[in-house]
Amino acid sequence: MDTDNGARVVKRARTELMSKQEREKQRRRQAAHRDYGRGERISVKGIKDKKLRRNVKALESKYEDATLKAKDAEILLENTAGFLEPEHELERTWKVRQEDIQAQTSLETAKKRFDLKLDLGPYVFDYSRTGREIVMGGRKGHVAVIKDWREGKLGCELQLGETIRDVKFLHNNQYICVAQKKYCYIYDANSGVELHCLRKHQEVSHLEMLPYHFLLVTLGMSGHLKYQDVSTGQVVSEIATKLGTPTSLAQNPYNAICHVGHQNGTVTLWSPNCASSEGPLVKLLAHRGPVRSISVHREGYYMVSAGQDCKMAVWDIRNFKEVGSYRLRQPAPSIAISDRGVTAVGWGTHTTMWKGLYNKHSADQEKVRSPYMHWGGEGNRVERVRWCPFEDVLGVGHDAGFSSIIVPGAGDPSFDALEVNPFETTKQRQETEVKSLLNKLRPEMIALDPNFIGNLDLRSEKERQAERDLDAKPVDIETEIRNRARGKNGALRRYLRKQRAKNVIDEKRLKVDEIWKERQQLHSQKHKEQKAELGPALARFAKKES
Amino acid sequence: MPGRQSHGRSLLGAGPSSSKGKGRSRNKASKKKALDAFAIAQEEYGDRLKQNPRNKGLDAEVGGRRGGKHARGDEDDDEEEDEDDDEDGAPPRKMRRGAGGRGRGDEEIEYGSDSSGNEWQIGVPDDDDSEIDSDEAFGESDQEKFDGYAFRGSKKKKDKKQADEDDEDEDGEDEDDDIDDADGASLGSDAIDLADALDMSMSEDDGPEAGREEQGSNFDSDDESGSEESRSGDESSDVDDDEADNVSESGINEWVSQFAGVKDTEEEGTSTTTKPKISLKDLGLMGVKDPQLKKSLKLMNKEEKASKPKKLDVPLARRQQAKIDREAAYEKTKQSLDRWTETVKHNRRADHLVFPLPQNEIGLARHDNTEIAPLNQKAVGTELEQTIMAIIEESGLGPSAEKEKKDTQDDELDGEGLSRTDRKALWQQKRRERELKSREDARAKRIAKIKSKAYHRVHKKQEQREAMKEHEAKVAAGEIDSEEERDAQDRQRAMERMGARHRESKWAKMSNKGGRAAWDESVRMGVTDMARRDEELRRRIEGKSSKARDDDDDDDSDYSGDSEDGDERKRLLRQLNDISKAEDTEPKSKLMRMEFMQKAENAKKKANDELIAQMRRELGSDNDDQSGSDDEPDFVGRKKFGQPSEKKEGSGEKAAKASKQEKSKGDLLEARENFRASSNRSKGLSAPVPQEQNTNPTAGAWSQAATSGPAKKQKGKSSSSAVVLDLGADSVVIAPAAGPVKSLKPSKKPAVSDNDAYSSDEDEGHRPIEFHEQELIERAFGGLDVVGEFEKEKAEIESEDDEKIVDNTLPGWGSWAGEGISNREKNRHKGRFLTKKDGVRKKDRKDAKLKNVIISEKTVKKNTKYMASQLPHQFDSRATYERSLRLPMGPEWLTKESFQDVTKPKVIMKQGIIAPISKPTH
Repeated sequence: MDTDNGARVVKRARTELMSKQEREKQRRRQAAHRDYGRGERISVKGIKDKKLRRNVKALESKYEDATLKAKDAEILLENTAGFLEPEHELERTWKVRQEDIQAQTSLETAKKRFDLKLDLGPYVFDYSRTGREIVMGGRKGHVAVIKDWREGKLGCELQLGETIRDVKFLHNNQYICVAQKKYCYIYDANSGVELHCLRKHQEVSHLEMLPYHFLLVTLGMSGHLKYQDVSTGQVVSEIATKLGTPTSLAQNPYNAICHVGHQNGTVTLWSPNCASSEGPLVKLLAHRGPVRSISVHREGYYMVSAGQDCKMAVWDIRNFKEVGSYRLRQPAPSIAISDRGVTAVGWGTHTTMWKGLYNKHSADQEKVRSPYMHWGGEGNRVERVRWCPFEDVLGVGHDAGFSSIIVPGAGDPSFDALEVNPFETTKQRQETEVKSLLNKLRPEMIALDPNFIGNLDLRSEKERQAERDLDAKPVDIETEIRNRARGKNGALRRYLRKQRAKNVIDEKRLKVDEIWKERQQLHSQKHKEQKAELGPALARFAKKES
Repeated sequence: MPGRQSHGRSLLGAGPSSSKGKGRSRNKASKKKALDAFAIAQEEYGDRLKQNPRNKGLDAEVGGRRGGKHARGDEDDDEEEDEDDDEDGAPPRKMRRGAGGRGRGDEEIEYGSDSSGNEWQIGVPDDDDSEIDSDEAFGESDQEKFDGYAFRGSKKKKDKKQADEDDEDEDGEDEDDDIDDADGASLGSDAIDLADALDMSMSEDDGPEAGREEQGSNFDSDDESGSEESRSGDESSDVDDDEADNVSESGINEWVSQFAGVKDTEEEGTSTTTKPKISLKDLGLMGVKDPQLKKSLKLMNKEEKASKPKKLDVPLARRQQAKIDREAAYEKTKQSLDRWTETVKHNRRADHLVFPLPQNEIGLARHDNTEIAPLNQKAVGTELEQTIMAIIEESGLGPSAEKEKKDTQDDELDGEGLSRTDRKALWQQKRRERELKSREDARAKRIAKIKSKAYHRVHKKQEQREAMKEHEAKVAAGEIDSEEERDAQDRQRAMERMGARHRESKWAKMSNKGGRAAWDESVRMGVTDMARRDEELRRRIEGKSSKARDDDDDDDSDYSGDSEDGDERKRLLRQLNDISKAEDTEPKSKLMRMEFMQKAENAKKKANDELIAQMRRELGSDNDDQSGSDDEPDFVGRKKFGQPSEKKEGSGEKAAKASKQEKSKGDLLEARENFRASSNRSKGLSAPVPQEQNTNPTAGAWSQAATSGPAKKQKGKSSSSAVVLDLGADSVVIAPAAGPVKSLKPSKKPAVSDNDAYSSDEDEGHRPIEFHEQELIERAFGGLDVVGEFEKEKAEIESEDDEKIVDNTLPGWGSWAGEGISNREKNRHKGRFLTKKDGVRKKDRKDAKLKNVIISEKTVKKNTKYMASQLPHQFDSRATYERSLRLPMGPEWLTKESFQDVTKPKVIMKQGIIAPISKPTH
């Protein structure tokens, strides 16, 4: 906020005298709230109930404490991230070439820049969640899993002989899902053995994985969005987007909402709880022409989309406002946002990395004049760009194979080993899997606001009543027993065992007794028949009860 | 029950005479002796009496009076009979009386005198009652007859009594008189005997009249008992006779000798015992003749009357008493239980409770602390202790070392006697300095204190007056039930008794035994408390609550001329003067000498002075119109300094306006500036065109960077600023188009990107080629009219979600349907069953203000599974509840410390014995 005379307008002038220590404290608190706060504190002034007020106060203090401690714990993050920075006004970071970086960095880091020349068509690929493995799929049917790409170990290689549209790791590095010509398949990442053929997912063009919900999301040519639970194998929901062949798919890592780009330039937001009859949660008109690619920052604040109209739009998806739009020279088929907010856009044969397209701390987003970095222009049409987690590395899949380039400051330097551990051992991986399965979130928990759980349902009781299926028939014990009565531990026997102990006689019990008698009769009749059949001498061997 | 009361009175009236151990017994003996004396006297003078015609008349008169009295009711007679029995020495009765006497102690006299009429017993000394009784027996009528006559022993008394009686008459308490007379008459039997005896013994040779008189009165009593209740009278007389016989047998001589000695002893006794109480009266009596003195005497009497305790209330019925006691007991129990509330509250509110509770933790640790005695050389027992002791000694930490140290210290102090005083002086100086520093602060504080005191004092008076008035009005209106009041008082008394640590209590004994008061603070407190309560109780028993007494005091002060208010004011004024006088003349410290400190001090001082002045004014005004000022509220708040707020507001508004104007001006300026800048820039853009013309026309500067060498760029840089550097080939075409574009978008943002490959839409105008491309693209998708479709869809959804009125009319329901029905008929039935369907209004939609966005307003039903159907208990608003959920509990979101804090169980139990919670101490 500058005035015309160059003076800076201070929003909140400091009027009262405050000791340095106090000021420092306040600053620290503010910083903590900015980084770890979860909104305004509850004002206890309006609360009349004394006990509640006390409780809320205690809660607030606890919360404050937790925030401050979280901020203090930052000291444990020993790794710092840094971007390329120009030394003077005329220097441009985007002019720095990979060779320059390689020359300046350590050998280990330099090794992360590599190219793979593969000739089975434009390649799509995916990093595993830990960032150690890569799965690559060539359009013409080549699938390769690289175990620990830093060391260049090849896991398995498949020649499927079928069009491959997309590849994806499931919740960990053990399974891959490949969207092939007709169906989706799940392979074991170590051996390349086909584990499943997902016949319900037909002609899938895009794949997404929601790791906390164990949901595999597929988007078919027909425009059907399908959610499959990979832990139970059930299809959770199938939604028809009704907007024709979709052109892009991305998930919002913050709330597990899927963003689907369509031919008509709209982006629709879906959750597995949506019904196709009710439409998407949100529909945006982002582009004129098909939406070629979408990406959402992991904090869930911003979405960047690129369309066929050579436009790149930045959306604030908290309030669904377009906060920036950039022009591209060619439509971008792939966009990826790194952990620290560097946006990679692959267009034509180029890939450009943008820094500071958005800033969550400022209300008005500044327009960025020039990109942060640039790569390409060597004649390889870019098919896909993806960031490697916890690394300053961007993977680019293109016509001629795969390239890994170094982008300083892109990745998150610190990781939470309890969440995703890039250095995990087999044992740790297994334990993490079990733990995450125990902590699996239900698909019903997906909503635009992931903190909705426990909130108050504002619908009136009347409305809720109307929604309940009051016409449903009550479960009939008789039919249940008849249908499920077999073996020694059949429904009837079990029921009777329990009921006889209780000695309560009601209508239900009478019915069951009747069935019991009926069965007994049947048995005795059978027994008699058997006796008769066996004759008087052998009658004793007749089976008494089934 | 007047009879009973009166009887009690008389009994108690007799009590005092027998209250003090020796005197009592002696009295009794004297009574008996008196009876005996009577008998003797009768024997001796009986004939003479009978011969006296005058006596006869007297007798008749007295008898008539008695008769008249008896005609009133038989109860009195019964009472008298009882009395007689008592006198005869029925042991249980006597015991009871004695107990009562013992219990009440010194107040016995007052009670007795209290109950038996107000006048004649005032200030009667213990041993004089016999005389009084004799006087009483003397009676009014006798007085008339023996006008000029005076007993030797009771002359003064009689005069005084006469005065008293006069007073009584003036007061007009005739009924009381009657009763008194009656009592006097009835009591005569025992009371007079002694007097007679005394008189007799004292003035045996005084003259026949005295004896005659005595005889007459005795005859009265005899007449009574003889004529009306012959049986009992006979009995009593028999007993009396017996007693008399006994006495006569055992020690008539003794008795006589006693009487002989009594002269001196009695006189001595009277003089000694009466002195403290009677001295005043004696003085009064001396100057009775003086009318003024008489008046003052009267006043004095009145005062004494007022201070006299009232009657004892009749004890409550047992049930009532029990009820009150129960209530009191309940209160007590509640009180003792209430002691726990704090503990319970605390434990309930505690986030975590760890058992065993710290307060009653048992175990080694505590025991060790208390049981291990400090090491001393004598107590060293074990080897270990010895070695430790040795080590301690060696290192100079042992007890002996300490002693030495002390000694040395003392020596030092002694040696540095001078230094000590010096040090003291130093301290003093320092303290003075410190005080000086905040002198004005202290002054302000003091002023505030005075101020508040004055305020409260002034208002308290008024309040009290009002309360009194109100109370009186209520009493007058009969709103306050005296019964109720009494009840409340009773309850209070019961409470007092319940809780009192009275003298006989276990506690008191305990505390006395050990002499604990000497060292135990709590005990000392308890003792003082007990004394205070005792005092209060006594006052209560007297019939006045402590409060009432206070009121009295206040009343007194009220009409004692100069009111307390005035005093208070004066005092306050004096204090204020002191403060204002107390200027710091002492030398100032360095800090205080600094200018800014002085300034601050001056400011403070000024404020204080003003405050003082204001208070003075107030106090002065109070003094002036003491009566008037009380009614109107005083403005004793803090004074506001500075300008009044309205003015400020106005100025603020002005300022705001000015700033607004400035702002708008600034905006204008900014816009103009922008415009200029943009035009400049466009010029700058167009300038290097020819150079750029040669470069690759298709690729942007961006690709240039990659393809062409740095030399070219350098050129671009040198030609213009960095902003212009990366101009793409597009600018080639710009030159001709620049003009119109400018005019088209003059007020656009000043932003110009250095690279058109990544330029924004807004800058499109500058690049016709891009523009061209854009146009092409738009044309390509133009046929679709995406925007139009989107808008249409949004409108549709809006209308669908909107509130709707649905017509549920069924054709043919209540009307004819089918062919041949006219349109008019159809329309007539159209809006018959309308239902309103709730929805979201257009302006309330979340996307109402968002362009190109449709946000669904439908609730996602599956999500409701995880929502609360109603506001949980204790939360008062949805916001509070929902905000309270935002603290995550998992280790993923919290640091370890806070996670553990959040998940710590509410109750933690340690292994081992958990002692019950200990009793609260207060």
